[in-house]
Amino acid sequence: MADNTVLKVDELSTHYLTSDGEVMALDDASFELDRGSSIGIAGESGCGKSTLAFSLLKQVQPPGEIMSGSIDLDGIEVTELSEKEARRKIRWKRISMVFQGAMEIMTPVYTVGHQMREPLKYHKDITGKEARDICEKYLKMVNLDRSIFDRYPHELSGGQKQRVVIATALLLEPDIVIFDEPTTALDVVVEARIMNDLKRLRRELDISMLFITHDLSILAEVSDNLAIMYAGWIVELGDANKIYKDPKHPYTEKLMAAIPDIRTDIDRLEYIPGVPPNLVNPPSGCRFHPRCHKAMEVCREMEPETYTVDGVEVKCHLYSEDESISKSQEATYETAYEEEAASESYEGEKGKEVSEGLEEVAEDEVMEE
Amino acid sequence: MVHWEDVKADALETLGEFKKHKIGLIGITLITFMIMLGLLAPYVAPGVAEDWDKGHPRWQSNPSQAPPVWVDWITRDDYARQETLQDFEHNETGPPWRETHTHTFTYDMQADVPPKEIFYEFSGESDGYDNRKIIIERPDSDELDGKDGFRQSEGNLMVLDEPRKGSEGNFSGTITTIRKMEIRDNLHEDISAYLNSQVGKENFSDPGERNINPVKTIFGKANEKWLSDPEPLKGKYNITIEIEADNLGGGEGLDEATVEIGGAVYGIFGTDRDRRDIFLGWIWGARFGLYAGGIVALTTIFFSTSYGMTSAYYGGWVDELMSRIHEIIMGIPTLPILIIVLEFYSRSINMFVLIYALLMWRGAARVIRARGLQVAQDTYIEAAESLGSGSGRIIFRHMIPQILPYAVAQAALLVPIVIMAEAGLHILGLGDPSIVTWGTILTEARAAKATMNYQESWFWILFPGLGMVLIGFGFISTGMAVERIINPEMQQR
Amino acid sequence: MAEDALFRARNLTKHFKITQGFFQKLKMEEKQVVRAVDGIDFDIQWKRNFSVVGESGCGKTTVGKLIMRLLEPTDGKMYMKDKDITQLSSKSELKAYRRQTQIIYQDPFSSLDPRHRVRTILEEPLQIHGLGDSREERTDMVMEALEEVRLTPPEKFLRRYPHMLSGGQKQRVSLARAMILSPDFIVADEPVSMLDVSVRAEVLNLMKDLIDEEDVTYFYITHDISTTRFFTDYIGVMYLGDMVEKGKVGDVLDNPSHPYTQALLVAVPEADPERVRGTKEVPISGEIPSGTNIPSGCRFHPRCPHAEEICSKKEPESRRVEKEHTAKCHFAGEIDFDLDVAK
Repeated sequence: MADNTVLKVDELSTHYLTSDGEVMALDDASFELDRGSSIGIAGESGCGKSTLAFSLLKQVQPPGEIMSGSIDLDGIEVTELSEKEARRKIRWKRISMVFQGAMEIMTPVYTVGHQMREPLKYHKDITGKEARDICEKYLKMVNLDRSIFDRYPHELSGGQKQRVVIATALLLEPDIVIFDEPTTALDVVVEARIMNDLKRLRRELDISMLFITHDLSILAEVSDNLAIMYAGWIVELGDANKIYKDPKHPYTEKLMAAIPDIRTDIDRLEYIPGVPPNLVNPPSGCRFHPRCHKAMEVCREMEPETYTVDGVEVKCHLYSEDESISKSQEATYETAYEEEAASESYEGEKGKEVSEGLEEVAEDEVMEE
Repeated sequence: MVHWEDVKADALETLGEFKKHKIGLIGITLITFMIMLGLLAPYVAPGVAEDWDKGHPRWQSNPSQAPPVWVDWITRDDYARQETLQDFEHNETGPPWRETHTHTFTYDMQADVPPKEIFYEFSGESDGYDNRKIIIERPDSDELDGKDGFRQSEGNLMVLDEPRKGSEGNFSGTITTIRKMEIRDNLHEDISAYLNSQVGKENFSDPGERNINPVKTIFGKANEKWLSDPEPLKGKYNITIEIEADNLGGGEGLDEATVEIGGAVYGIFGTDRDRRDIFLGWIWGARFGLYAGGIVALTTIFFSTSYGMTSAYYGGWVDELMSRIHEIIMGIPTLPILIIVLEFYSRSINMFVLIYALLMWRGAARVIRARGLQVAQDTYIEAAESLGSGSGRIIFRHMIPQILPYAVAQAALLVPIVIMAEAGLHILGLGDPSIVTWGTILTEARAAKATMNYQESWFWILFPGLGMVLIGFGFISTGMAVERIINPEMQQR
Repeated sequence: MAEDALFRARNLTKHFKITQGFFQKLKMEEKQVVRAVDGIDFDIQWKRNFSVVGESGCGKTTVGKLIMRLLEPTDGKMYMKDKDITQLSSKSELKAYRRQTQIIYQDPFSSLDPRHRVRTILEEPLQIHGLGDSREERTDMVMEALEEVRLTPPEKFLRRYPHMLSGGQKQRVSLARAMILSPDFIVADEPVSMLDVSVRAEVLNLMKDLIDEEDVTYFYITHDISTTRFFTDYIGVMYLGDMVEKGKVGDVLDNPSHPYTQALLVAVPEADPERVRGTKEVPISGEIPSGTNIPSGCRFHPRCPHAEEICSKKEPESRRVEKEHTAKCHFAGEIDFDLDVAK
C-alpha cells in the first residue's frame, strides 16, 4: 500500500441472499483511492454502485452480506469490523456519506444546528459553544451564512439543505466522503455551484472523495479516476481523462455516446438496447454480452479477465493478449443489438433492483402459468 | 373493460400472494372456518338459540359443568363418557294397588374419573307411584341403598315430578337426578363403622357433616379417602330402581325406563352449570357475532368510501362542509345512545347492528378521505382526466380501486370491535335475550362466579373468550394481508 | 411567426391564490398570489417541436397543464389550429380537444394506474372516445400502439401491470396511451428525466421517430438543456413565470442573448473533463425568488451580473436578436456574452 493511499478495495464481493437466490450485486471490485484525490463510480441504476458505497461503510442492509474481499481503510480492515466498531471507528470519523436526496432526511422539528451537532457530540463529546463554532466554520466553508445554524430545515431551499448535509459530512474531518447522487434533485445552476464548492473543498481540506452517480457529465468535472460499473462488475477503471477521451470497454463507449452534446446538431442519440440483467442469474461469460455491439462467441462462454491497456484497466475479451480470444469469431447468437427491440427486456429486468426482483420473480411465475 | 382471463389471473395471483403472507393465510382460514360454522349453525345445532334458557328440558340429561371430552388427551386419565343404558331387567311384584316395579341396569365403570351424575327416567301406565328407591350394587359387593342412605340437599332423596294425569289417566315420569347430597347421620355412622372395620379407626378421618359428592362416593373405593377424595372403583355396577306404583286402573305398569350416565366430560367445549352444551351455544355465538360484525363492516365500507371519495374528489367547499358534518357525527357518543335505545326501545340484535352501522363508519371515513386526497394527487388521475375521462370514470375506475383495500382493512378491524361491544352489552344487561352470543355465555359464566373457580369451569370462560380472540386475530391479520396484496405498489416495497 | 401555427398562446397567464386559513380570512388579509405563469406568448408550428427549459418553479409545468386545460388560465388565450380553446363551450368540445392533445408525465411510476394492466390502460382512451367497434378491434388497436412504441411482441405486454415493467418500458406505455388517439399535439413534461442515460436516449429517439410516423408535434418541457438541441426545433427559456428568451434552438444555444440563458448554459455539466476541469464561473448568484414576490422591472435583475439601474425600474420588452430569436432583456444583442468557460 503506497503511502498516500487511503483506501484500497480488493476483490470485494457483496451479495444479497434473498429467498429467490443470491443477488450478485457487487463482484470482485478492486480499486484504490489516494489521499486528496477523487474517484467517480458511474453506472446505470442497479449496477451495484450504491451497494459498493454501503459496503465501504460496513452498512450493507440484510439480506446483503460482504462475501469476500477486503477493504483497507488506512490500515483498518473494514470487512472485519463489528457493527458497533464500524459505527464508532469509521462512520463519520473516517468515511462519511452524503446520501441521495439527503436533504429530505433532515428532521423538520429540529433546527439545522441541533442536527449538525449530533455527530460532534456522539463521536468527540463536543457540545455547547465549541460545537457551535465548529458547525459555523463548516457552514461557512460550504458557502452558507452562519445564521443557518438556528434555522429550521423548511426555511431552507433544496440547495441550502444539501449544503448543510455536506457540511455535516465534513464536520469530523473524515478521510473520505462518499457522495451518492449528491445533486440529482437539484437544478443545474445550483448543481454547478455545489460542484464548484466540492472541487474547492477537496483542495482546501485535502480529503478524498468518492462520487456515485449515473450522470457521467457531472463526474467529468470532479473525478480524477473513474470506475464504470455494469451489473455488479467494475468493467473499466482508470484515469478519468483517458477514459473520457478514449473509452475502451464497449459499454463505456456506448454510455459516453448516449450523452447528448449541447454544441452540435445531431439526428439520433446513441443508446444501449436491452436492459441490465437479473443479478440472481446473470448472463454467462461476460455479463454485458447480450447488449454488446462488439460481442464475440467467446463472450458468452468465458468471463473476461481484467487487462491493463494504456494504464486503464478493462474487463473485456477484446483486450486479451491471447489472439484466439481477442479475435474470436463474431457472435452468432442474437444480441439485443440486432433485435433493436427490447422484447426480451423484461426477463433481464427482474433482478435489477433487489427488492423489486423479489416480488417480480413470483409475479412472473404466475404469469407463465 | 373486463377481461375474464385477467380476472382469473388476478385471482390466482392473489391466492399465490396469500401463500407468501403466512399470517394472512392463517387469518383467512380462521375467518372462513368461523363463517362456515356460523352458516352451519342451524344444521349443526338446530333450535339452540331458542332453547338457551336455564332449565330447558333439552339440556336436562347433560352433566353440569363437565369439561370437554378431549381433556383426557391432556391429562391422560380416562374420563367416563356420557352413556345411555337401555337394557334392564323389569320385575313386578305385589298386588295391583301396590305393584313394586324394579328396573335393574348394569353399568361397567372402567374410567379413572367416574361419571358425574346418574339420571333415571321411566314411563308407563299407572295411576300413581310412591316410595322410589335406588339400590346400587357395587363390584366390591357393598350395596348402597339410596332409600335409606342418600337424600338431596333440599330434603328428599329423589325428586320426581308430580304425575301429570293425562286424559286417559296415564302418566309418564320424567327425569330425575341425584345431585349433590349429604350423608344422613345414621348412614354416616354406618359407613364409618364399615370403614373402621376395613382399615382401622386411627386411619380414618371423620368427614363429619360435610357435603360430599354422592356419585363420586358411589363409584369410589371404600378406603380412608372414600368420602374426602374417593379413588375410582372399577367394575360392574348394578343399578336397581324400585318404585311402588298404584296400578288399579289396569295399565301395563311402569315398564319402560332408561338410565343415563352423565359423563365426567361432555361435548366439544364442555357444559355450563345449567347443563347447556357450550359448543352448541358457541356456534350460534359465532353466527350472531359475524352477522353483527359483518353487517357493520359492509355498511362501513359503503358509507366511508362514499363519504371519503366525495369529500376527496370534489374538494373545496364540498370537502369543507362534509368535514364539518363529519365532526358533528364524530361528537355523537356511542354508549349513551346504545343504552337509551336498547333499554327503552328494543333489545333486538338488529337494533344494535343498526346503531353501530350508523355510527361506526365515521372513523374509517377519515382514513379514507385522507387516502382519497392522496390518490387524487396521483399523476395517473390527472392523466385520466387529460384523456377526457369524466368524474364517474375517474372515481370508479381509478380512485375506488385504490381506496377500497383501505376501507376493507378498516372494516375488518371493526368486526372484532363490534363483537366485543355486543358482549359488553350483555354484561350491562342490554343484550338481546332471545338469542345466544359469546357475550351471553360469558355473562352467565361471570354470574355463576366461574371466573373465581376457574379450575372447575375454565372451559366456560375460555371458549367464548377464545372465539373473540380468534375472530379478532383472523380479521386483523387478513386485513393486513389484503391491504398488502391488493395493492401492487406496496408489493414492490 | 407563421400564421398557420398549430398552437398559439397569447398573454397566457396563471396566478394561484394561496389557500388561506380560517383566521386569515377573518382578518381580511390580502390573498397572496403566486404568479406561476405571467403573460407569455409562443407559437408552435406543425411538426416543429417546441421545448421549454428552466429551473424548478419557473412555471414550465404549469404551462403544460394550461395547454392540457387541466388548469384554467387566469388570463390570455390559446388557439389550437385557430380555434380558441380557452372558450370551449361544452364538455364534448373539451373532450374533442383532449383527443387532439395529449400529455406524457415525468414520473413513469405514478402516471400509470398501478391497478390496471397495460391492455386496460391503453383501452381506456379508446373507450372514453368511443373508438373501436368491438373488443377484438380495440385489442388490435392496443397491439398496434404497443408495436408503434417498440414494445414487441405486444402480446407479451398486454397483461403486465406497470410495476412489472422497467422505467423505460413504462414511459413507452405512457407514450402509447397518448398516441393511441392519434393526437396532433403532445405535451411531454420531463418525459425522460427519471430514466437512465442509455434508456433516455432510446425513448427520445423513439419519440422523435414518431413525429413523422404519426404526424405529431411535441411541447417538450425539461430542465435538461442538453437534450433540447437533438429533440426540438424551437426553444423557450422560462424564468419565474416569464419566457425570457425564445427562438430556434440552434440560435438560442449558440448565441444566448439573455443573461439567464447564458447562466443556464454555463451550468450544464459536460462529459468532457478537459473543458470542465477548472472551477466554472456560474455568473449568477442567489436562488430563484418566490413567485409571490416577483422583483420589479426585469424579474431577473437581482441575480443578473449585467444589471443596471433601468433593469429594476422598467420591465424589458422582447427584443429581436435574430430572425425568430427574441430575448426579454434591455441589453439583448448588445452584451457580448463569453460562452467559453474553460479556464
